[in-house]
Amino acid sequence: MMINVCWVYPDGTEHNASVEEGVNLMEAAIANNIESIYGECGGSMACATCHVEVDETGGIAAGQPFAMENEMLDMVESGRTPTSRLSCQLVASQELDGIRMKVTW
Amino acid sequence: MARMKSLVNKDGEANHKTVDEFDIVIVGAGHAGAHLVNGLVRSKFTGSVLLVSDEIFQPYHRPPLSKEYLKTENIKPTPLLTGGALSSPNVTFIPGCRISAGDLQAGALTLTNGAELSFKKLVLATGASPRKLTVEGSDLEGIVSLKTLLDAEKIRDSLLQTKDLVLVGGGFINLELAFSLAGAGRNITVLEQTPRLLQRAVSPVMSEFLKTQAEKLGVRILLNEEVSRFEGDDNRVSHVVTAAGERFKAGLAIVAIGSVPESKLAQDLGLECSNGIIVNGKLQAAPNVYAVGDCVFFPDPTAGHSLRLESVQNATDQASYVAEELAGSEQEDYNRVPWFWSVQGDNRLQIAGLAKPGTKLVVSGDPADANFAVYHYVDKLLCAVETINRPGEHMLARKILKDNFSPTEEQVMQGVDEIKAALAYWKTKTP
Repeated sequence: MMINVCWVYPDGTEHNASVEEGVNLMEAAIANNIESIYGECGGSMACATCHVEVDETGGIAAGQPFAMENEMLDMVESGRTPTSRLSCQLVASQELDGIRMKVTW
Repeated sequence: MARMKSLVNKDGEANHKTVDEFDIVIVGAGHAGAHLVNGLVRSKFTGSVLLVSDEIFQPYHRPPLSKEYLKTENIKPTPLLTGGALSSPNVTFIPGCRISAGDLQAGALTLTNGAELSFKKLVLATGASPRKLTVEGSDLEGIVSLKTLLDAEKIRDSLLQTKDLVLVGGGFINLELAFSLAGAGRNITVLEQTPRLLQRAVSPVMSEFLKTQAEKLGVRILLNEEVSRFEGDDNRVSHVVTAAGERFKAGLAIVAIGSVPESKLAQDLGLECSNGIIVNGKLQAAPNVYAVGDCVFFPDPTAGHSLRLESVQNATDQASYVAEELAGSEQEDYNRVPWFWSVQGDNRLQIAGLAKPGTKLVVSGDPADANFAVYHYVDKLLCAVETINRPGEHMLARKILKDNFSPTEEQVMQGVDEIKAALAYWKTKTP
């Protein structure tokens, strides 16, 4: 199954993609050439270069970061928000169908 | 490679004998080479780029090969190239190929598939290869080193045949392997030649911590053990024998005793090499040649000498720097805080900065809790921070090392919030 995912750039432009369930949203961003998502560590939670801010207005919640992720988020360059996540820890699933993520740089 | 044009046909031969012209040729498609392509595409570089790889695969992340890749069935390698890089019409990828000859002055290269091409700028991202152990029997089957996807496949296949594993060398790769493979009825022995694990890379307290953790999982770790020969049965390894004369049963022996830079091509091209390809502060080996990643011997901006680093961070940061250079940006000399991570079973080891021998060590937290940090000082100057399961403190360490701030021992012992406060105060005092 595929889900719809949307990345929103600082200027408001939207980048939509169809992502296979089970794929993490950092890898999906790399595949779709999303700016400023680098995923240098390949999803090992070592680099924090896949930070996104989940836009919850559409009804899809950011969810709770994992303990290690939580510590990393406190230190992200672009600044943490209440709905910050490392997108390598978000895995495409039916619950996330339609998720919107703000990308910062 | 579906959407990438290729210069080779199905038989691996060059399609034509005319000289193809490229603005940039990148040799090596590991983290450094692939990241450089990504960087050029992201910066909207419009020139032609050729990426040559001696592997037959699309570039992939290497760190999972010692972990998830061996533990999970049907796992696919994680691609390194972005979708943009894969679909850019000005990017060409040639897999399964090496450079057979070249002339830097003429800007000419010949590939092993016979293709001849010209370049304006050449980037060497040739990496490093596992150091070979040359003792009796070291060419027996069942003795492997881990660098590539094919190596990982060999290890996966062997794991179906044997439960007796001897890991020669107590460095990062073999420890990651030991943690990944422990359990499942396997007998795993690590043989390390020096008095402690990871001797050149981490503090004694970290070495001891990792040893204790591995032993908890049933991994046998033996120090001060030198391998003198391998014994075989029907051309396949059966035992590893130490200088002390002990014999260890082995259906699979994995040798990970460090790496050597791949600088032969650079030497053949007439470039100066020592512990890697020698470059200046702009990572140039010659006016039209850059070098990036594990193969590079580059000036340490914090000291009066050069060094070579083997890490994903070094590969990606140097590639980003050279992408900017090639795009024509004016930049200061290359200067990044080195950092490193290694997942050792359930524990996440991270290192910021460069640990040097003889540093003063300050330990915050208790290794018994698997949650601690080791601060390295030269006099009162902080030079490196090792952490276990403290990713936030690691990120902070990278920040303070970049800012050249050294917290006091007292501040370190009081924890992250105190260090952050001290950094903020220090910044108000420092012009």
